[in-house]
Amino acid sequence: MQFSSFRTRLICYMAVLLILVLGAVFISVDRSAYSNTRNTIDANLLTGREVLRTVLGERENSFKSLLISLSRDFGFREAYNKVKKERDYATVLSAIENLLDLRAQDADLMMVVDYDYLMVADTSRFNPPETDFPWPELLEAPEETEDLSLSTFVIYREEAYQVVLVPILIPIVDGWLLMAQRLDTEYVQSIKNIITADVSILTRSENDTGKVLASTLTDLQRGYLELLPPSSGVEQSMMQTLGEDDFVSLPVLLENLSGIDLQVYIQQSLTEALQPYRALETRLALLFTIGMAISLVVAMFLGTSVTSPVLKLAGTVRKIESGDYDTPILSDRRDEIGQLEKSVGNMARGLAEKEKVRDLLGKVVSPEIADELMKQNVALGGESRQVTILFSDIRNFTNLCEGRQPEAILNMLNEYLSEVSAAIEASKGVVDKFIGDAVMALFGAPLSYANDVENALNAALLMQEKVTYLNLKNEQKGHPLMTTGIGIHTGNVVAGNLGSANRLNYTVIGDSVNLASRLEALTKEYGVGIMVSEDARNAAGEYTYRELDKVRVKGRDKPVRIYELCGKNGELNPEKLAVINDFETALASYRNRDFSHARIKLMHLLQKEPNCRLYKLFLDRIEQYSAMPPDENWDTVFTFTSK
Amino acid sequence: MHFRNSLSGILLSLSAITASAGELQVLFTDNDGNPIKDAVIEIINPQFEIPPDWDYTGVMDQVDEEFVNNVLIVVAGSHVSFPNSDDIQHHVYSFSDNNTFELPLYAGNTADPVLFPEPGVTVVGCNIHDWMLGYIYVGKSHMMARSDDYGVSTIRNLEPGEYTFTVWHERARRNEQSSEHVVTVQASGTTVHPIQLNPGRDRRIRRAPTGSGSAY
Repeated sequence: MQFSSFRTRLICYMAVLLILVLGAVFISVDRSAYSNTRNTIDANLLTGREVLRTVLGERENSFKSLLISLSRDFGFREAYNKVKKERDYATVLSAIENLLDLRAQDADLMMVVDYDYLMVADTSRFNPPETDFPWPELLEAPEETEDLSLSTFVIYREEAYQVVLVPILIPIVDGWLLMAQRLDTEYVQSIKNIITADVSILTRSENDTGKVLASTLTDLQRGYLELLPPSSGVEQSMMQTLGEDDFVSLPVLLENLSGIDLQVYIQQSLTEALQPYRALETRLALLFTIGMAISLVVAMFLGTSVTSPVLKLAGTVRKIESGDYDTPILSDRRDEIGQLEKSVGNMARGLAEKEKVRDLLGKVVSPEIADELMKQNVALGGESRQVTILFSDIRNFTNLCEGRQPEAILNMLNEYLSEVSAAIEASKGVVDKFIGDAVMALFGAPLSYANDVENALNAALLMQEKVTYLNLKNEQKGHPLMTTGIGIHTGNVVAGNLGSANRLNYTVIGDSVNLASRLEALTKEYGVGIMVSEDARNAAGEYTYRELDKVRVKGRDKPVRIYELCGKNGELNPEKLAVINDFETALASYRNRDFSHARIKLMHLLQKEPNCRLYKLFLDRIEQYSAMPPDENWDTVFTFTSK
Repeated sequence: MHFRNSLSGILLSLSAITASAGELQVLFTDNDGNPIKDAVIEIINPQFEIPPDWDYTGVMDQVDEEFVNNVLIVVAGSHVSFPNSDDIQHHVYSFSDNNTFELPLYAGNTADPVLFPEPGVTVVGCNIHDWMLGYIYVGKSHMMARSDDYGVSTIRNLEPGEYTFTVWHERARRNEQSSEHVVTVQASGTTVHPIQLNPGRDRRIRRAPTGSGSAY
């Protein structure tokens, strides 16, 4: 089972653990109680059985002694012989009734039977003289004792009796004396008083159901007892369910000569004996419940004490995650949670500081460079990579500054730099640095894209639009108009952190950087807005260029073709395209030393664009070459000796 | 085995017969063929004259708390003495219908002989020792005999002819004791008449093991 909440899980685990432990204790106590009680009852019943047997045995001996004393008395013999001969049964009855009265506390019944098993006297008066003795089979019993007495149990008038018979010898056996004790409820109650266990005496009725003759049980329990099957004839304790009570019952097998079905049980209520344990179990259950409740409350409290700060902390961390580092984490806890809170607090402060640094860095360097610096160990060194470098500059910035307040200049410049920076970043470039009014931007470092050159060209075009937009605004404000020159070159550079161990700068260096810078400078010379190198032009074909020249810039021996970026393909009108075509025709004539044709072309072009510095530049050169033609090895490359 | 003993008893008896008269031997056995001792026969028909010199006395001694020869046959009118050979006293009595008597505690030969005038069986006991049982068979005439250890009751010197006799034994059934047996005695030799009894239970108490005499 999965629980999303730690507190729920803790409570459930605690509950399951408690239930298991307490359940085990409860079951153990229950089984132990049952086992101990059962053993105690079994022992008690065994003792009770011996007590019952002893009581019965003593009664037997007592009756026998009494009867033998009577039967051996010569006077009795003489009297018996006499009255019997005279059939004076009343005298015999009177004699035994007299004896019975003397022993009334013990014996309940006496009888005299003659040799022919006919009644002589019966104190119960239910068997008249000369009628059949109720239990002749007893007198035929095969086993005889030395004194011819016998002891057994009979059922007489629906009651159980313990009977003792001794012969009347005159001098041969001429009859029997019988003395009996009723085993009624009063009797079994007296036994119960001794052995502290219930006693029940049953027989089988005619319809084969049990019939209780005497019992210390309640009427209801007797009813249930009668419904139970008879015992198996083994003196072994067994369970008897009598209504709501379970009894441990020990059958007592009594020597029984009469052949009657007499079952005697010594019983003890297991339910009653277990009551103290049940009370204990109830108390235990109560304690368990209280313990469980307390434990659950403690678990809940513990869970809450853990989850509450954790949830609070999680909320704080989510805020931190979303960039809110200002949420205070106040904790005076000294436990693990407190340590965690402190750590999170420290982390938040660390992140806040880092973010602050990042913000600051983002303002100093481009966000991409800032990220590059933040995400890895800043170390001196660099890597060689293909980068497109863009240089931009405001023409005649110094002139623009003249006569103006520095704050105004700074505002204007900041506005300008913000716009061009936005244009660069919008085109996936990064501003490497601001050099006064100049901007150096990189495409391909620190992050490189597949179309870095195109991105640089797009940035240049966008920058021009921004400048146009700014000029519109400045014109309304009466501010001077700005003209920018942009140089773009793509090539291998070394990119990395440059500077000292304490202060460094992510930048690119190399010949390509210089060339881009030179091209930016040449834009003024050639009077164009955006100048790109041959390498940059070749890398981005979807644009319209005008070849300007083939030059050898200062500090670089290898000549390079330079182009003016006129716009994206399809964006230029036919007139502009015709102009570009005418110029390139003029340039071709120039390079073929056909200066006159080149001049005518340029003059035509100058006529359309009188202020175009490019045409003037070439017309000036043609003037010079016309006056002093170049030598035969002229490679058409124009060498610049200054920056 | 017992039957064989009975036969040998018969043969012994045969060797003693006289030449001039017949002899009746009644052989008593139980259902298992065992000889029955102390069974008494008495010829009731024809009636006999009792010889004038007949000794009308009998003795039933008491030794070791037992009656010696506890089945005694006497003719009616005999006196039977009950000498006490023990060193303790006995209290001899009988409640029998024919001869009720009592010899209260006595020792030695101090008790007078008891007259048994009526025929019948008198059961004699001791009030002190209930296991002591004696039977005095009082016959109408002297033609009586008691079976020996081989179960044989022998009456000698009988003229040839038909005789009717009765049977008694202490454990015989009532019908057995009341029935009459008819036998024809031959002129010479022994007339053997077997009788099978079905003795009832020997209902007597056993003497106390701590008695002064030898253990029973």
